[in-house]
Amino acid sequence: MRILVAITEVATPDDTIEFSDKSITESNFTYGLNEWDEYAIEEAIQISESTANSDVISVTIAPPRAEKTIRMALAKGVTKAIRVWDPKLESLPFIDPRLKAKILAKVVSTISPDIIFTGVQSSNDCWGSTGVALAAEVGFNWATLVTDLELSGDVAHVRRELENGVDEIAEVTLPAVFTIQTGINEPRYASLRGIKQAQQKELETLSFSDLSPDPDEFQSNINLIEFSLPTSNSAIQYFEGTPKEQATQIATIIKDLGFGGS
Amino acid sequence: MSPILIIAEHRQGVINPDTFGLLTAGIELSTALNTEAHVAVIGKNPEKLAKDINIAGIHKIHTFSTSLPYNHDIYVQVVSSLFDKIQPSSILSLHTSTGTDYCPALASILDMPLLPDAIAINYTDQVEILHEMYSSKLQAKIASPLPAIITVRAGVWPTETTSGNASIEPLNISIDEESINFKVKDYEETPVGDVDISTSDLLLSVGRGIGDEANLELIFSTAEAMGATVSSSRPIVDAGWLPKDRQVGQSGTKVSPSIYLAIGISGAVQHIAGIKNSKVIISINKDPKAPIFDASDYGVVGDLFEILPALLEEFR
Repeated sequence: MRILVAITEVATPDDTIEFSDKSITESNFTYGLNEWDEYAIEEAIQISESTANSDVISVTIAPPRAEKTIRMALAKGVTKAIRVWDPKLESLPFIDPRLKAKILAKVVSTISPDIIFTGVQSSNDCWGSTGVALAAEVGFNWATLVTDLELSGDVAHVRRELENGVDEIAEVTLPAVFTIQTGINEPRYASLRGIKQAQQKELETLSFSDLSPDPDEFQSNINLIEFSLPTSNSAIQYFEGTPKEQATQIATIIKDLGFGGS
Repeated sequence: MSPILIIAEHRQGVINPDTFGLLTAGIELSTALNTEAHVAVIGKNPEKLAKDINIAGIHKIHTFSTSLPYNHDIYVQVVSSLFDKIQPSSILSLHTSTGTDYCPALASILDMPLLPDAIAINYTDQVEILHEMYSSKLQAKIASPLPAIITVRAGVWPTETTSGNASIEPLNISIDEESINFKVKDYEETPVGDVDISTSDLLLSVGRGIGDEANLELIFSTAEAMGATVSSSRPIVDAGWLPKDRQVGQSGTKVSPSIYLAIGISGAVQHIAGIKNSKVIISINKDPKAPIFDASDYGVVGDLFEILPALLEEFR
């Protein structure tokens, strides 16, 4: 069983975002693994641990900066990592989901996985679309928003999380792409031994010319007009003062609406 | 200009109410393009569903009848065939568990640009959408040539239900059943536990900011003192600290209390979708840029571990 897990490095949510109309200033970011991908990696490793002759290969589209994050995936038990980057990507403000899928599809064709895992979305791009675009690009089946997965032979029994507390129970035949929802498992921490081993594991880097005789095929059909800040909520009233004073103001609202006694 | 094609969303015989906001978005775009708005309804008894969404501004509703529940393989085939037939200027769907399950594949197969999770749509000489990034802290106005596939965020556009007189036309296409590889077996609802947060009028809701499972005790004692029910955001349920029936949000429970008190909840899009119908939202968060404040009536920027004990005292 060969499992490919497509993972992304993201800026952490607490980071302050500095940007101009057309670009984001990345120098002040703290980077880490995309939260959804933590669960995708864990799912891949769990399956490889319970299936003979398995390996887990990770793929990330990112500049060299991301290697520290990728080593963390290797430390958790990923067998080998691939990092794709190209000078052409440097000038893009983001990589749209179809372009991501086209790039990843080339990697898929060289390693022929039985299963591809990826997170439902990344917290930076918020496309929520790459996994399905990739499945269509490589002609695999797919299941999205997966919160439970059991394999029997080449059939995957999945639970998909829909809206309003409703789950869908479905079956899909491998090879397939699964987009993994948070909560599906308990992502492990890398052990000290794992971190040491990760330094010896293979981290292959590929550019567009390694992936295709025609590197110009990797074009984005989406362009950025501008970045902007969300409109701030002018209707909100902030409670100032000491924590005690703030608590009193909250309590007043609650009591005025008839709750909590006097 | 050829029509805008809107794909209606429904499950188990009922139109998803968010479809009406999607219709508004599609009709607005068709007006901007000076063209017609068409809708596709794919599923069981589509004529009945078509009547439910036959509102003013829609010119034609295409129906495709299948006894199978929602299935992305069928949607991709049917919408592709319809695309070949009417050559729409763009295709619009909701950015939901359904829309995100087939639209990216459709974009690949039809080789069209994909514009995901639009919170605004505009047309100049190309189609532009506003898309939130970086946990809703940044907006990107992005654009592509027509035709594009746009997935639209639920609950953003107003709903209009004035009845209309669009013609309803069954689609005369056949699908290849051999290529239906995805099989839906069943649907299951989250079992309701000891509390029903959807009926509670005062919710004290806890998020990742609580840091540790042991700190939930502070939440429960404060809730008890003020007579509130405890609910939570997704990470608390993912961590197994509270059961799924306590989870507020798009995939959990949508709530409509008189007061929603959000403690250490940053306010992911999916969470905000579940609290919109609250009458008053009060939020406590240490991050002044947390998106939860954009949905709140009252806010406290501060340390919940200093404010909550003081709040508990207020109700003792």
